[in-house]
Amino acid sequence: MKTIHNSWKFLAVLLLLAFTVQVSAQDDGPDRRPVKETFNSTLLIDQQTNMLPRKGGLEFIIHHRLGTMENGIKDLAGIYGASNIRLGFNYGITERLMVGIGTERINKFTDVFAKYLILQQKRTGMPVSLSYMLQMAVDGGNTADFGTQYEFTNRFSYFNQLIVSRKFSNNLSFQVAPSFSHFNAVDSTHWNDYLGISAGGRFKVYGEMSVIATYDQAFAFTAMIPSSQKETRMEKLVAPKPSFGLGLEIASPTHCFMVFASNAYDIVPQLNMAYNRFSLFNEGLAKQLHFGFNLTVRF
Amino acid sequence: MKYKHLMTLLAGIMLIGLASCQYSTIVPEEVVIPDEPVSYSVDVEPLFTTVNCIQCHPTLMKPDLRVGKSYASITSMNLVVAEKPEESKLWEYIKNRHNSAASLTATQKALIEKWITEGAKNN
Repeated sequence: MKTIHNSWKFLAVLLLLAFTVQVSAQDDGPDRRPVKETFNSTLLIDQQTNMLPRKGGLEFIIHHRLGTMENGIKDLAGIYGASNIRLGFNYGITERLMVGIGTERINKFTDVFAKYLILQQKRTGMPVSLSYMLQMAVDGGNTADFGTQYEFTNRFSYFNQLIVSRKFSNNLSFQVAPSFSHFNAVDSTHWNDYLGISAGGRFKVYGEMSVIATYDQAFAFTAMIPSSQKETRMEKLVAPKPSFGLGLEIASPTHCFMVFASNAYDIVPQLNMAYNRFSLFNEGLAKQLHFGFNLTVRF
Repeated sequence: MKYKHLMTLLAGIMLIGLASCQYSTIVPEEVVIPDEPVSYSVDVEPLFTTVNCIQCHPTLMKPDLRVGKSYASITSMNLVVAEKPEESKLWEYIKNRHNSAASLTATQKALIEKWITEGAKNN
C-alpha cells in the first residue's frame, strides 16, 4: 500500500514539473525568428537556392564553364578550351520575391525568371523553406535549327521548380528540388516535357569557406506523347545524363565565389535537365568533366 | 495583401508564358547531297570560315581551320578517321554542336560526313 502511495506522489511531482516547464515556455514564447542564410547565394553550382537578394538589392552574376579536362596540361584542363558563359542580373522586388535576367553563350539562350519564397524556415515551427521558381528562355539559335515549320514560339522553353531547403545547423544546409521543364519545339530524339529532381548541399569547413555538391536527374515525361506517336518517339528518345557537381564556395557580404568540377556544360537549367550528354559513367572521365566558377557580386 | 499588384503582375506574366506553350517537333530541312564526290577545298574547308570556326582556331587553340592550313592541321591531329565519321573527332564536335559548329545547317553537316565517308581526301 505504501508503494502505491509513493508512486502517486512521484507521478504528482512529475506532472507538476512538466506543468512548470510548460508555463515557463509560455512565458518566453517559442522562438519563431526566421532561419537566415541557409545558403550564401541564390545559386548552388547550377541550381537555384531558396535565397533571394534583399529588397531593392541588385546582383550581378557571372557563370563560367570551361572546356572538358580531356586534354590535360595541353589546354590547362579546359582553361584554354571552348567555354560557356552566362551573364545575369538578379533583383529583389520584395523580401520574398526576386526576378532575374541573363544570357548564355552556348545556344544563345536568354532567360527571365522569378522566384518566390513561399515558406520560410523558422527556429521553432516551420522546419523548411519552400520557394517556387518559374523561368522562361528564348533560344537565339539560327532559324534553320527549328526546321521547315518555324514559328517564333518554337524558341521558347520553360522551367518550373519547387525548392525545399533546410538549414540543419550553422554548417550544414541541404535542399531538394523537383522540377518540370518544357520545350515548345524539340527534335525527334527528345520529348517536350521533362521531370527532374535535384539535390544539393553545403557544408562549411572553415569560416565562410564551404564544400558544395549538387546532383540533378531528369527523365522525359512521356505520358503526354499521343498514343499514335508513342512507339516511334520512344524508340528514338535519348535519355539525358544526370549531372553531378562538387566544389568550394567562398562567401563575403558583397561577393560569393564558387569553383567546382561538374559534368554539366549548359547553364540554363532546362538544358542541363534535358540535353546533358556528359556522363560520369561514360568512358574517360576527363572527357566528361568541366571546371567552372560562379561569381556573384551584390550591390 | 501588401504586394497584391506585384503578385498580379507575376501571375499575368506566368499566364502569358503558359499560354504560349506548344508541343512541336522540329521537322528538319530536306538534306540535298550531290551525287558527285565532295571536294574538301570547295565544299568543306570554306565552311569553317562561313560559320566562324576560325574565330578560335587557331587564335585560341588548334586545329588551325584557316583556308589553306586546315587539312594539314586536322590530319596531323588525327581528328579524322577516313571512311569512319563515327570514329572521327571532327564529326563528334560537329554532331555535338561544338560552339560555332552549331551554326552548320543539316546539308552542310551532311557534306562533311560524306567527305569523311569518301576517305577524307585533300581534293
